[in-house]
Amino acid sequence: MEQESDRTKMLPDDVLAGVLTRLAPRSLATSQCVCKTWRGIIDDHRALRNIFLPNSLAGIFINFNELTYAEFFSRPSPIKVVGGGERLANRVEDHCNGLLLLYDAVANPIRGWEAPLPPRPPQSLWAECFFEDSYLVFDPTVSSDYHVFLIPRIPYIELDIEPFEDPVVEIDPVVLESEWPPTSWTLLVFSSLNGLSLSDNTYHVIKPPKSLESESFPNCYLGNSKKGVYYALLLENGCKLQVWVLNESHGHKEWILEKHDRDLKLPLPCLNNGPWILEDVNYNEEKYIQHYDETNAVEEDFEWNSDNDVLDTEDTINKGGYDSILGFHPFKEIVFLSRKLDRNLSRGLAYHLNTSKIEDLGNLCPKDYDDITGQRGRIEASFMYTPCWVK
Amino acid sequence: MATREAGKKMIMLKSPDGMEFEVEEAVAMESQTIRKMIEDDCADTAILIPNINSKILSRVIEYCNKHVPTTGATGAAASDTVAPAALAEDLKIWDAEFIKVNRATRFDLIQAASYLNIKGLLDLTSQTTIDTISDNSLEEIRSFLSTKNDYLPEEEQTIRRENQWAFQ
Repeated sequence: MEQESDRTKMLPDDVLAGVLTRLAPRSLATSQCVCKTWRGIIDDHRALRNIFLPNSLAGIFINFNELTYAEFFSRPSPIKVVGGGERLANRVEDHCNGLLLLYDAVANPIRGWEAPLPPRPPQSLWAECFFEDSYLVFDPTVSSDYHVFLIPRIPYIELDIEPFEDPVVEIDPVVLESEWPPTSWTLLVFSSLNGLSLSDNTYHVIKPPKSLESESFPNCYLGNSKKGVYYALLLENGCKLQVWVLNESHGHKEWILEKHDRDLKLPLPCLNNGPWILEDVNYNEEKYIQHYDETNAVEEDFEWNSDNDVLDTEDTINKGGYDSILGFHPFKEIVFLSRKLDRNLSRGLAYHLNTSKIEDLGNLCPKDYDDITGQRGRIEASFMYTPCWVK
Repeated sequence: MATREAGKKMIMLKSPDGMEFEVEEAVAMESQTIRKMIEDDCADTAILIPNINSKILSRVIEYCNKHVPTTGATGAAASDTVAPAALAEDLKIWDAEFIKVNRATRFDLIQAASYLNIKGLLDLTSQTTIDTISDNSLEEIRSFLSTKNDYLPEEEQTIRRENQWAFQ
């Protein structure tokens, strides 16, 4: 071998691999460029490849109602995830193993990589009255290809609209009453490998676990955690939590309730910054400020008022429980929750399933959020983000 | 060279260049490889350590001698009298001095620590190398480790493009 003289000064492959497993992903990527030998070693050793795979929770992407960009809520880290909102000029539609699905693209924020999606094909007549939600499927341990599924959803109809208002969506009542999903359905799938395809595979319906009848629209979340697929419900004004785990053994699937209903403790309200920080990318963008100025001009005058800075313990703090479930920690049995304390003030919290301990993470409310949205502010969606260095 | 102390079992380690080192069993058992040999009764007389010359082996023994009391192996006494924090600090300073060696010696030490399975020594020697890789540019890494760049120009362009994110 021509590099023999050079190699003798180096370490044996396995020993060198052992040394390189201590590298951070970025330095390991640099090391691939050092020479062919190193690249070969990195390719050959599973432990080294694993460094590039999604194996830690970096933070939570959150779509807030009426805000243009998804916010990132995380413990500050030297690894910059989002490039100052430039790349993520959109809300996050879905996340899977380090890749983000935006409305018209798939992106890896940590690598600054982005690939556009083809325009969506026109919907069939029958499907016109459905919203189409898009979902991303990506498993870097299997392949570097990803798939985007468009899955129709029966629209949520507001029942409490004023009599003179038209419903936003007109739906044929026959469609609403028909069985969903219908027995035959063609699913639109975009694959980064084959392009657009129509899937004729079968699907399996897993109904959500039975919830309390009295709760008409319980706050629920379906996600992955340590033991597989989890389903959580916030009940009784956000004071009770139900957690179900999908048991997939013995060839059938059934939901198993984890302990009984959990009475959620309400921790003392905390106003400290951190340890987690909301990026506030919307506030930092120009558009946001303009929008805010316009809103200010037409709506009531939000002058600074010292009362806003003081929590009224009597009135606000003990009123309600938690507002929404942000998601499950992908590797630990932790449920992330949000809790509104006051105007422009809400907290992100971590509930440990095993110990019932509640940990305060930090402020979760975008700057001046309630001033912009009035009473309509809410979290629309949130995604646990696990960085992946492969794609 | 280790001296025999009353009541302490001694082990003979031999390097391929014919040198012999008599060490306390507890010191030798800092190496998980040697520990296994002793526990499997394969170490009655002397243990030949292949591929590790006497110069490197003596340094490895020096490391194990220094580190044996804190790991709680048999015969440990120092940790009872000195505060653990002070002891750890003392070891850290000692380690920093110990690792001030040239690159070839460090690689030999990594190889020896890896073969003999001495975790502390492997951590120490690897970390020094990792620091070099983490803090320097590609060219600096190559020159420091005297690794030749065997990529063709276009190959290097491709691999650099694939890993562009790491250079930003």
